[in-house]
Amino acid sequence: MDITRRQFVRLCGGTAAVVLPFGLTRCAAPRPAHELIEDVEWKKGLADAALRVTTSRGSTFADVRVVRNLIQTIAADDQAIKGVPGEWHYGSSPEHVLEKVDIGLNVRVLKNGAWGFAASPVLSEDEAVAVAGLACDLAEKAALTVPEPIRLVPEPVHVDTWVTPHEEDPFTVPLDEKVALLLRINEEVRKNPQTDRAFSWLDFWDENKFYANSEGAEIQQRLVRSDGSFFARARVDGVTAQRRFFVNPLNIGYEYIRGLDLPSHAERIAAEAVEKAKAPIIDFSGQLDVVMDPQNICLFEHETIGHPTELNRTVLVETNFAGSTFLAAEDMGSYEFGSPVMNFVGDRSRPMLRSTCGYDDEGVKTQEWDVVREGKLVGFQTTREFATYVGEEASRGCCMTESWDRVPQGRMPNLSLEPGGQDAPSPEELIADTRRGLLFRGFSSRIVQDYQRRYHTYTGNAVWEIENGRTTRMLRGAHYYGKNPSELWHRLETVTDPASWEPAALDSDDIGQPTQRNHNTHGAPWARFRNLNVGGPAS
Amino acid sequence: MILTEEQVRGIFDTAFEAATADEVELTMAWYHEVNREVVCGSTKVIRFSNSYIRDDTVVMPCHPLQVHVAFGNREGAAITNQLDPAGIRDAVARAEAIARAAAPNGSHRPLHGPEEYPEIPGFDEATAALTDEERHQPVAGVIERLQAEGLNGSGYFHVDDTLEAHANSAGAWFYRRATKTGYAVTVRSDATTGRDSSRVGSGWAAVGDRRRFADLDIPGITDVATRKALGSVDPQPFEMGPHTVVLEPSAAASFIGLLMRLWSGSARTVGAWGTPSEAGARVASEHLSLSTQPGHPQIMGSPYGPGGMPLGERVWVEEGVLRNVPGGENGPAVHLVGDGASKSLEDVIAGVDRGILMTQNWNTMLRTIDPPHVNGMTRNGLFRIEDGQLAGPLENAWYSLRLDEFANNIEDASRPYNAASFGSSGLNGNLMPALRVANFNFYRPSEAV
Repeated sequence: MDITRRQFVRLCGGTAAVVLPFGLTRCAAPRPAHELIEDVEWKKGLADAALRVTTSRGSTFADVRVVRNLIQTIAADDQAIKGVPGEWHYGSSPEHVLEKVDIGLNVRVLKNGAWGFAASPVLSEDEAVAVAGLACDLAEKAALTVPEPIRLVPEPVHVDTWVTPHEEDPFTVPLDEKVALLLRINEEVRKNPQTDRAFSWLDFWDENKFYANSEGAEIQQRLVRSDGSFFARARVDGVTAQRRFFVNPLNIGYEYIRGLDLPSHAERIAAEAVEKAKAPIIDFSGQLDVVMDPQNICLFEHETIGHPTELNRTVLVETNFAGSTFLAAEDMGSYEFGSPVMNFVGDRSRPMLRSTCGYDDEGVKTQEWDVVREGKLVGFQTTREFATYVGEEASRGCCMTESWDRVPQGRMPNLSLEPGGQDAPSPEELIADTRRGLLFRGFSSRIVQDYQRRYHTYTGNAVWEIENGRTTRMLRGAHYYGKNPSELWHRLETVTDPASWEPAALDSDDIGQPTQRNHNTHGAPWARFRNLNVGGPAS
Repeated sequence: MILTEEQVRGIFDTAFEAATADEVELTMAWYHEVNREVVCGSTKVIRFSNSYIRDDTVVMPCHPLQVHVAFGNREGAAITNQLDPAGIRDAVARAEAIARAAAPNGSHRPLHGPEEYPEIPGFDEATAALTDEERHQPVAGVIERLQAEGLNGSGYFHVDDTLEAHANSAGAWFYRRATKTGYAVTVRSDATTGRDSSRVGSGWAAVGDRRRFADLDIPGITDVATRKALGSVDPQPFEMGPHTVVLEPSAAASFIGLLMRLWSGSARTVGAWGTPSEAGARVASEHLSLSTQPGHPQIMGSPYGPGGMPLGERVWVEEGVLRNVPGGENGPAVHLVGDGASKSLEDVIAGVDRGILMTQNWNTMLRTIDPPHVNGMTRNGLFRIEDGQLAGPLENAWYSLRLDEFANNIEDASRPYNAASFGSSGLNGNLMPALRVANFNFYRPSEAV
């Protein structure tokens, strides 16, 4: 009985056949997917098979992703290596100490003006064909509900390879070396007798993505992420307080972790945790000048600028869960967001930042653009679809999918507050120039905000009083708040010099149903806001 | 195809054979990562917004294998979704490498042996066999109506065909198929966006964690959201301060979830941990009774509990008295049912002379542990109640109150209803009562809709 090539390949477990002398043929030993995933030509073959189907079915656009995510998370709770509760992080937390391998492919189709999407963890040509056909079926059904066909703005065809610049692959560093580092950090923290807990972690990602679309794009990317940090917790006279050492998560190799010398910061962080536990609760409510460090601004800008300028929120795509925004698409070019020193840049191309890659998840070359210029809203976060909602002719490259089993969506890129010029003050000079105010350092998840991002209340991981140009004492429970982001950002008066700019970032961000995570940087200099409303937690 | 019991045994055997650790625990089941839920099985989702389908997606069966190993009390874990022998062996090797490198875990718990689990059928063949056309048809129907009525609808409808399997080197074994479906919809009275949207009416309704698609009334759920949306247009301000509030079951669920954590001692804020309440203590008014009932016909949940212990029925709160402290050997507070009352939500509303109906809330969080201070805000429909009747929409507002006082201020409760959470993926589906609560404190109006 003759068998077709496809049947033969299936019998061989999706791997290639080997032709032997004398016309004999046998199956090659099956190669597991976690090895095949490194074979770009093989992945091209899968994509070609899928795209042949979508083209023959008459789709106007289709794209394929073959993805392998490798994640390693190691956490130390005092001297134990184990899972940890989630409240230590703002977003992500290593619930398990683990390594995870997640492999699969997906096909997205734009057909009859609507999207269809199907995905599978099985990497074979047959599966790619089946998934592509299914995506077409789903798009045809969705199209019956679409009042106006979805359109995409054009993008040049890219054929390229892109790898996060890094020196030392974090996955090749021995585990016992990483564990020893974490235990040493915790040991250093606990040398302070008034601490009662230390917690540290390391987190590494290796995302291997092959992307191809029906326009001819073929892009192989590898994104390498390194992150790690620690907390100290103190308990003094029944009051518990924690202080975090903020590492800016980056796309980079293990050389970054080596360079941080994390144990050297443990003594200071432990001392500040103790100081925080002893600190009085703020007893002031009113207006004060507020100085923020980059890690405090990070969450503030994520919530007040980042989410509101996600165009999918603006046009009510996320209404059923994440919410919408106080901005409308028509606000672009006219909405006065803040003071003239407020300049926000969106990007996915600045070296080492969390969202940085060569191309987004629909083949758009990454770039940098103004979102707020001298206080005025001038840009949104767009994809090839969402760009049409604001009349733009090209995407900003904000289409992302976390993994093979999640549909691509518009997601938040790096979004950063720009520093002042070379003549701008340093952080030290900014504090020295502040007669009376509060200094907020680090972000805290204890924020309050509504689902349109109108009202906001923020605090910090640590807050100090500033008197006559010097930080005096810590305070607990201090918050700043405003009835809308514009009110807050119009009070931005000074940003510090370029040398003070840091690539701060949250641990994670999520959106969508089902949810998917995102990584992005919110860089910032230090900044001073004049006469912000401040007070205690009930504000 | 979802893996059969025999196939799972084969995969587990490969892992056991590859392992050298003292203890090996293997799991194939739904699991939660921060900001992400992972289905073990297949998941099919229709997501619509602006009254048309945006995402119509099918994820073919995926069975992530979780490998937990221990050498003594040194632990390691790995996950893979590649179940060829090489992929399985690779995961075992990764887990063992972590365990060898790990420091001892002083709270390591030894494996449990074989257990008997109650039979709770959670699999519905008809739901698993739904065609894409059959999934699509009811959603297309409600979209057609939303478009015809000029309403802006956003919805999420999922059908999962799932597998849960566990085994360990001490001989434990568990295998169970289950289907799961849920639907959540937000309807807005029009498509106004941005700052001008504060007068728009918005309503939400959902049903979560049903095992049978036949039990999911998509048009009916959408009707509820539509009524709330049309009834919420042009909301009016109201006086901040304490009010008598009726919380619909989904709104009550977020408070009850926090209360269970408070009583179990698992409530946390940044850097602060709670302490468990004592069994026998009065923790709420006599109107609150809660129990875990995995086999309730409207839940049909998994009988596999943490650590492999069988999860049976357990009373947590009986007429306001804490009978068992959630957590630890008592098991988790899951598959919750609010017991005791027989009256309907409408009956509870009818008993209020002057008050407020909260249909849904958002961002209800513990801000401090001691005292247990909570705040959050209303969403998708807040209504005035006068003489037992709904008397017009109110503007959304923030609230701030003590959780222990909330529990003691419960003045009335309804029979339990499916209370889907305003969540991302699973929607959940505990059976929660509507609650009437006195002195519920609102402190700031909100323009957000």
